[in-house]
Amino acid sequence: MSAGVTGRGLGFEVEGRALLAGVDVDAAPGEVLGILGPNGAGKTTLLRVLSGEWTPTSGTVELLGRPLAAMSSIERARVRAVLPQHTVLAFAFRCLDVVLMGRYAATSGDDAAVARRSMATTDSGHLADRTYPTLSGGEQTRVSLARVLAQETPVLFLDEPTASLDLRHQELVMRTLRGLADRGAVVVAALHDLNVAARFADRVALLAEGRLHAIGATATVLTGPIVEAVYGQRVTVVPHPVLGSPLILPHDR
Amino acid sequence: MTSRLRPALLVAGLGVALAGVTVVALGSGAVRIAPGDVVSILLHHAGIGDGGGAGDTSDAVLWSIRLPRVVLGVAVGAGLAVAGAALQGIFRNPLADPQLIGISSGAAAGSAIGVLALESAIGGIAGSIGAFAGGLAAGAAVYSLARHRGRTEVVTLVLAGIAVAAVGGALAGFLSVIADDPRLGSPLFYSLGGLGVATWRLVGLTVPFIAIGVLALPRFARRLDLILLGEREAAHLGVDVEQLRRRVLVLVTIVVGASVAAAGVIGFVGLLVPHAVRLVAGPGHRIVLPASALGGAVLVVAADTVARTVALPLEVPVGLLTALAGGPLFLWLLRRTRSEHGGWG
Repeated sequence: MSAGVTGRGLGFEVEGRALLAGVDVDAAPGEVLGILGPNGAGKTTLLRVLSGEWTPTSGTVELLGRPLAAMSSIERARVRAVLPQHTVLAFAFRCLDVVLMGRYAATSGDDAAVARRSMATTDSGHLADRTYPTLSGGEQTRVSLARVLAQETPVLFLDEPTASLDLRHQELVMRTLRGLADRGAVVVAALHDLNVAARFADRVALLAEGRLHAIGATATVLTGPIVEAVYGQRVTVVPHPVLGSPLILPHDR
Repeated sequence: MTSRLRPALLVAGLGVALAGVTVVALGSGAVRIAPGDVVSILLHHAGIGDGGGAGDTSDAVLWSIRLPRVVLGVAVGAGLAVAGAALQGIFRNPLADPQLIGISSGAAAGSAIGVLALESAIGGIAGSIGAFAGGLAAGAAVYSLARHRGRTEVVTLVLAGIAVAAVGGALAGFLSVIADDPRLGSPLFYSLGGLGVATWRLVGLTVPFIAIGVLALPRFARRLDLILLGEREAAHLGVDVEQLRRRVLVLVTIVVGASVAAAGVIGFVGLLVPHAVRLVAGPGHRIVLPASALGGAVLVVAADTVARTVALPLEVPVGLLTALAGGPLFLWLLRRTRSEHGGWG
């Protein structure tokens, strides 16, 4: 039993259709686990099941060794934070207030200081007094991420955290997540960009049609044959010229 | 810094407005009482001063007729506005309002049934109990219809509310016509409201229930803020969303039930007041709930004062005035909201 995130035999069905079947995943403290797979493979479903948003129709989830099903809303919020793909907020809250919402479950610490620090970390401190609905998509993502960081949980689930970000902020966010893991957090992120996963994830889980195709160290899973089999796309995998991590280059010949 | 000051100024301003409108309301009517006399009569009843020689007639009119009516107006206005603000919060829907989503009409029908079936057995509280049951049934029906796969469908919520409101309002009107029972209000009372039946006894049967809601709902302020972020997000942050909704819905129904049983269905208060407050003070419920309570009280007491004085000796249903003043104001608010926050989509 790992003390991080453990999912055993996870299945999720909606109206007889299996969005997820027989998935075993685990992520340990200090680790970034990337969840990869083509559109509709079940990345978001798996994240929702692991984070407790959806109750699996089969299988069990444990967070830090405790069964998720037995934890109350507030207990969950003290163990794990979740960044959904997109947060639509029609009401005009100030960004600082949005980030402070991340402190709802917190029992100690200086809420305002934590919120300010989280905003600085995601390069959104200058947005503190702006209202959330007036921000661009990428700015909203960074404020939402600051809210997630303000929760100060040992486990983080993120659904496409880099989706709407420019290159620099994409790097900033991934470095932040990497840093959290290096300080002992468990980071589980659904990622659509294989090269982002290749650089920042210690291990990846590759989903295909709701099933786990492969899980393991990033370099052993992100190989040409496996990526081609799952994505149905010709690729060449070369070592990154500077970093040495795998670099996945799609092509049509 | 000015943006931090605005909520405090708003609450202070509404407090002053409520005091002012109360004095004017107590002084207005067939027997006019000067503001100074209103204050000295009130102080006299509080054990301060000798009433300033305002006269026994003024004292009796103010104390036995107008004050219960104003107190009821304050309670009903505060209750409806807080109820609207809380419903908009739990449903994340700017259209939610006790009247629009059917709770008020359900309460009206329930109140009529309660009076007819139970009042001889359990007394004057029967209307309130029936109103609570009817409002809860209507709210629960609308809410469960709008739930689909763990989501609340905004449009279904409003459409189901309109249908339930139509049925409840029709049922209340139907009963009031065919039962021909003086204990029931007129069909006009159930559709447009009125504070004309206010007595201290009715205040005693109504205000405690409204007070429960108005005082308890602000305790949910922070969780209501989190729900605005999204049902999913609120759950991620540690809020038990369904439990919160059930509790808020029950409190709202207690408030609306008591207010409908006493004053009929007064429209627009729950929609207009919270929106106006948000425009000035932002969406945070720590301010929106108490400021709405004050604003709702001001609106209903002012509307009722006009309703009973504009066409003496006739009395206009108060709901006509809240709609007449509230409708145009709400249209203006919509325009302002669009220009400042991009509208509701």
